[in-house]
Amino acid sequence: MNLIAIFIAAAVVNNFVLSYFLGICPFLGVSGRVSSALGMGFAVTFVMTITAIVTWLIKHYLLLPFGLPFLEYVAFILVIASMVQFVEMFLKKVVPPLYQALGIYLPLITTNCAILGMALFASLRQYDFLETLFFGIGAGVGFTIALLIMAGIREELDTADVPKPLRGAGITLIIAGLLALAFMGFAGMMGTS
Amino acid sequence: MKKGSAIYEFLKGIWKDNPVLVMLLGMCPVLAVSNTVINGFAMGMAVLFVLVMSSLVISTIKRIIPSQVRIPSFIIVIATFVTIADLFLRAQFPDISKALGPFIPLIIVNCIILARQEAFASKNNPWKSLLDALGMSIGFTWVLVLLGLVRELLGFGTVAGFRVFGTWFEPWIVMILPPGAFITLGIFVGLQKLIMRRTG
Amino acid sequence: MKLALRMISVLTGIGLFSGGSLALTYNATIRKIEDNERKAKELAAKEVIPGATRVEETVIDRACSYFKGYDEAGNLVGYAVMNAEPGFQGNIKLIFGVTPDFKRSTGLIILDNVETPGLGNRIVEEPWRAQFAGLALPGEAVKGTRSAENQIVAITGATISSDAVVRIINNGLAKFQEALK
Repeated sequence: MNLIAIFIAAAVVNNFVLSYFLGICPFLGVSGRVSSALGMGFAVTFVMTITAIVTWLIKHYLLLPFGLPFLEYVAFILVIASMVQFVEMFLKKVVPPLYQALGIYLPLITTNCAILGMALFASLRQYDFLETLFFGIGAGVGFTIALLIMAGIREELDTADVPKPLRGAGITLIIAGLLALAFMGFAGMMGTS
Repeated sequence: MKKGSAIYEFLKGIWKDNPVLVMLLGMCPVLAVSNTVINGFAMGMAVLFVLVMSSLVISTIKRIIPSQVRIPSFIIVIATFVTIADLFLRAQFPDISKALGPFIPLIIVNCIILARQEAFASKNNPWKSLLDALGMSIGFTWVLVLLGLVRELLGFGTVAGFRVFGTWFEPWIVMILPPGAFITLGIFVGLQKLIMRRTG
Repeated sequence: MKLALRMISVLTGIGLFSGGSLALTYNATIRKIEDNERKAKELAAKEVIPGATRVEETVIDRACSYFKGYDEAGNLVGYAVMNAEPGFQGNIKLIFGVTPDFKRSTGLIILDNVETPGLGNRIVEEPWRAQFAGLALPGEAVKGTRSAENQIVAITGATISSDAVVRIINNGLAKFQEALK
């Protein structure tokens, strides 16, 4: 299936957050401000891209040739944890303000279901190298888009009168639901193959 | 109830420190797998297995793990038990395995599990860790089952596969879909807060 | 230095334990897992090939395979083609039977889909699928009523999903005939 279609499908039509429910934790935690949302989105996209590449290589040059398919989950998550560690060190040295802004949410990228989910989907669908790469980048971009829209809405919400019990997580989830509803409009644009 | 007592460690995960509604952890599977009662329950049981086993192991070997490598250690242990659960389901319950799909392996990154290792199992004895794991798992499971109940009833008209509403019922399809999940969970979170405030 | 050594040995120890227990579990379960998958496919194939008591699968690519159906006496009684392609919301995976002369379909089963419940999802319903038994191939989806042997009526409100099913069948047939050459 052509690469652009895979990219658009991952980013928009089957958005990782709004259609597959992946990446919710950071989605709820970091979508308060557009600036941190953008930074988080960028970090996640970066990690996803490298993860896509490395997990594909590990699966096809290590796990499969040596008959170790059952180590896929362990290997993938270790790759992700290492990548996140690497990104953390990189940001700390090169873009400290972003490192500060993301705070605790940076190491939490490791437990971002979107990243492991992306790696597992690509593996399940038996995507080749390029397909995996485009899928990973598309997923990251989609995550960023969802995060940005959410942040934009929540910044507006700061001045709204939300019922007390719903403040914070409750209203955020409901908004996410409405966003998901909106994104369903993209269905039929293309598929996943 | 004395804080730190066995009963407390067990019960806290069920309501007061409910991992989903209060700590807001483990959202991803909650939203995806709560479309029917059976799926919700099955996922809950899978999480129970992984959380209990991981907590027991981590709590037993915690002394020999240097602090710097504790996260990778936790991750390897968790991923191992998840793989075991996944293989078991695919062999013995293929239909459930298919229904839960990628969300079984995604238990690895279910923040609940890692959070309990970091916050509790690595700092307490195996018995307390077991209670903590059980309580948290049950807390997780009942939310999933309740969510599944609402979504299945309104979205399919059935409960655990049994027809409850007759054919006059026009299913609220949105309940089965992502938007329904988000909105229902949002309401649950709000309700829990409301109840906690009222009951002090 | 001592710390580094400890870190490495602990991680290696845990890793070995993990690898070992997983290898054991894998060996204990892989038979059953492959069996389950094979049985599910064969059951579906037998259901769409009338008279088949045994089927033999040949994989074409990661989305498509075909099955030869044999009766008790060992005669080839028909084929089945399994294919998966994007529908409306996601992939639709289906299997359909084909007569030995490749001219007609002998039945359709939808194996996997994530189409809209109540609309596209209705492609799994028996009355609609029954149209595919005896359908002349390649097929065509139309609205309203059928006026040719190779037409089926699309589900109202789910034309994209219905079209997709027909497209997946036609593409599967093409791949199958190509593979037989």
